[in-house]
Amino acid sequence: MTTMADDMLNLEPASIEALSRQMGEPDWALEARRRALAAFVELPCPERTQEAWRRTRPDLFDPQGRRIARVTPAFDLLGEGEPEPPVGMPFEQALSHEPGDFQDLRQGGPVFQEKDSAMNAAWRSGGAWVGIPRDRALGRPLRIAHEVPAFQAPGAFFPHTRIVGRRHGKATVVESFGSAEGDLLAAPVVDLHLEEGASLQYVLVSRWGEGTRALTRLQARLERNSQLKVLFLGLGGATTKAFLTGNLEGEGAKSEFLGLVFASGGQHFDVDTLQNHHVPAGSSDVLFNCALNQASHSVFTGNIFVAPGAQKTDAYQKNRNLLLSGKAHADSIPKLEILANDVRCTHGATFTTYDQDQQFYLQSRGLQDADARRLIITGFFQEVIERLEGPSLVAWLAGLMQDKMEASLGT
Amino acid sequence: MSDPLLKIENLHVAVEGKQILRGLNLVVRPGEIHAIMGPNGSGKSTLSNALMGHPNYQVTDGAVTYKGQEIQEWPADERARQGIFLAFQYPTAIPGVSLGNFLLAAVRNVRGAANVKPLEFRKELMACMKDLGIRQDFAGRYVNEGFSGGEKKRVEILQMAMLKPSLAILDETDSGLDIDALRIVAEGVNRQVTPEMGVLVITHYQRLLDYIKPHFVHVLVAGRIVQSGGPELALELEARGYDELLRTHGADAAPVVAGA
Repeated sequence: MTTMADDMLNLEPASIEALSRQMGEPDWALEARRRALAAFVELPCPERTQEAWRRTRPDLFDPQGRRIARVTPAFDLLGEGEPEPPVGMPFEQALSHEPGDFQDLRQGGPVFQEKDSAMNAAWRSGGAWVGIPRDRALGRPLRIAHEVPAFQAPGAFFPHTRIVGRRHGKATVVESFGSAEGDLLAAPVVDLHLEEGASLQYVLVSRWGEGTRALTRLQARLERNSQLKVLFLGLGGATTKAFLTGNLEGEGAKSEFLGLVFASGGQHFDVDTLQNHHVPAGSSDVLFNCALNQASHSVFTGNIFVAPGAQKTDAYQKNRNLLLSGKAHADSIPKLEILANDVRCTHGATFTTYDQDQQFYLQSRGLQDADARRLIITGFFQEVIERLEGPSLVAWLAGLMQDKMEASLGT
Repeated sequence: MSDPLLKIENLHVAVEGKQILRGLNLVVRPGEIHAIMGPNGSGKSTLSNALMGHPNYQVTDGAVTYKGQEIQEWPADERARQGIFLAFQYPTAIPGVSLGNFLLAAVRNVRGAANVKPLEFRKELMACMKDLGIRQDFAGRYVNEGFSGGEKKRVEILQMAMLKPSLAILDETDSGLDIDALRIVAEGVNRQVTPEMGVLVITHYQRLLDYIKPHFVHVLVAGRIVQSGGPELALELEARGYDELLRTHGADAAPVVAGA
């Protein structure tokens, strides 16, 4: 279900009051919006001179003058088998049903560092909540779809998703974001909180429509011995800027951030990952594969921070780029800040075009030129996708990549 | 005598502007196994790559006829579909592509998609793997990625078994194999040879020919076949080495007048 606001987004409190009322929220949620709005007004606009914004124009994400789209997400389960107990609901419903998971908002909301985070919190217009029960392993992946159907342009959509993995709970959650044609600003915020020993596979499928500019922020908090696997799948949208951050706050936490981008046409993807090692004995592993066709552009900035005292940290990151056209362009920027002395930290980046030896090898086995190329690209993605667990999930993701590949390469 | 399966006439091949094959002639008939021996740099791998249609190997003169058709213009995939197979000296890794899926795609292309049923394909693949002593989990591993030298060569012969070619070219299939692996690979090849099939065994050393018995042995020096004979020629070469032939026929030797 989608509802468009009557008025264009402006900085008056009346606009957020109407939103909060329409979404049936408790009073404290409106108060949190008010504070977020104040922070949004207060915080400076990012400048292009700031490192994070050097390769993507920050002014593309100005919300003013747009109409807000309210979207209720759809929930279903991937694969086959027994139904699972319902563990998710729309974000605004969860505010009333699961107030315990929103202590931060009830206390007025966070102190915002970034203007875009405040923007999402002030004009939040969708999103989901998932609570993974304690000591339970959910067998089938939960899928949440946020689709903005035909809307009145220029539009804006601000979903917020919160997933809480309670102690020793285990689940897979797939979140997919899409939109109809037209000029849309989409700025999803995802926060993941894993309690001790919790385990989560989280997949974010970014398949916005052609006219969408997306600003995605994902923040994860990992407590002791928790395990997180994130996959960011960049397929759609005109311009995408994403910040994906893992905060390893408990000893023995393990985070794996995977990324797959298939850019085509004039698409622009600019993704920053940050692995924050605050405590000892954490491990992080980042693998980001970007395939670029036509005149597309990708930027991968991989940050690793190791705090003083975060000894025995094991951090690894790799970025592979496959350039399918002479006009495509990929940037890879590793940034390591290591303030502890007993750590293992490695990183690497590769840039390749079609490998002629691979091409000939496949052709010598009867595959035509175009089929050989498809197989090489498929392999490039499969390497990342197969890091995830669950055959239904892997098959679904492989299908998504296949669709994008066919659309991009043509027949 | 049956019609030639493969007829190579006066073949000249250049790689990156450098002439490597300089007038090679050879006829392979169905049921025949030919060995091509020669020192390093004589053009053995150039011959196999050129026969398979590698785009970097330019045929500058001469002709290759396969089953009565000139194949010069055929791309590699067309040659494969028509039954030509090359077991690579250095098989290429294809990350992210499992051996099973790769072979299914290959077999579908060569036999025609309608003729390949996944279940039967699977059965056939498992049987072939067993014959070659390849563990079943290799079907799920990425093509040649992290394989040892011996594993790569076995997997080449596995591909040959699945694609059932009319003409098989084995390029230095013995290199990198220990004696046990060599025996398994050679037995694998021997099981596949049919009276309709031609085999070209390209090798530096004689030892592979203890297992795959050739009907004819040719010596390739500086891009030409300088001597041909029966299996005894391989033993002779093993005994006396390539030095003498290099002195007489090598690139530095006096040029042979064309047509002489």
